[in-house]
Amino acid sequence: MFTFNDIDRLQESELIAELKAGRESAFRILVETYQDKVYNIALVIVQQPEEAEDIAQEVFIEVYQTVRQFREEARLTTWLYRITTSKALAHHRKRKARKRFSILTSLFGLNNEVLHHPPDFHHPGVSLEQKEEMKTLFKAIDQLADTQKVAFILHYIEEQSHREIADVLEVSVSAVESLLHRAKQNLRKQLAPYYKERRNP
Amino acid sequence: MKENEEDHQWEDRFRQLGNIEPAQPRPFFYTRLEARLKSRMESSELAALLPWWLQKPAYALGTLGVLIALNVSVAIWQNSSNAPTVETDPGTYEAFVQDYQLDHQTVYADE
Repeated sequence: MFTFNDIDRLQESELIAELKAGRESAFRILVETYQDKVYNIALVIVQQPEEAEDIAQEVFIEVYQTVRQFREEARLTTWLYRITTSKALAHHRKRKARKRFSILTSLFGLNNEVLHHPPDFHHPGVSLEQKEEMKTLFKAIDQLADTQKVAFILHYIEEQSHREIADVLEVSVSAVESLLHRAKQNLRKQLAPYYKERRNP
Repeated sequence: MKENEEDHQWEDRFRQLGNIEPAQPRPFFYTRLEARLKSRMESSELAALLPWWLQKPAYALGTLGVLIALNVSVAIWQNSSNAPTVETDPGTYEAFVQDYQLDHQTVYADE
């Protein structure tokens, strides 16, 4: 007796076989199925729509170029999440380094303004009444350490289980639990003054 | 008890993130991706024509540096070996000796 998961997996392995055979239609199906997921995770990590699109494209290019090496030990979504998060984090780190460098050059008078200073991030899916709260929440998420950030985003935004997050990060389930615990503690510390002020304006 | 309530409150705040509508890329994402993939493949095909040590900028620049250094060293060596010799007056005895290389010491010099 097949379960829904088995059927899902069966279709997935057919798709991977078609991708490995170099079928363009299979690649198109893959992109159209997962483009929103990939883009959304990239956007939440880098918090810049143009950069998120750039990362999403790079993710699919990597999939296209390396799918023949994919051994199907992990699920396709796990593999996609893994590529997306690592590319987005690398991009984000590079931007932070550029920003630090531009601050340094502005200090030494090579230019007079601080470059790469993105405005506050507003996720396009947030409702109007939550806009302010979510802006503060995303700002706090941006301050988290890389692995804590990925674990938190996959758990609370993508609603992935601890097991699935462990597969993406290639760590144990208990390590994921510890990452999530620390992420929540750090967020609570950062956000406590904001919620306190909201309660007693 | 109060701590538990507070934990729940925070958990509810974090769970709100799951209610956000997922963001979507701009329309025609696949078309843009296809164009990028095509140009990437064309440039990699072009790069495949070059030897492996020229495919990476660091190696290519290194090779260029070695070539420039070799050229400069050859030019310096050429200049130093072609140093102008002291010209003697063609009508004198010294010029005659120099032209016919009569000033060379031979193994028969003592004889």
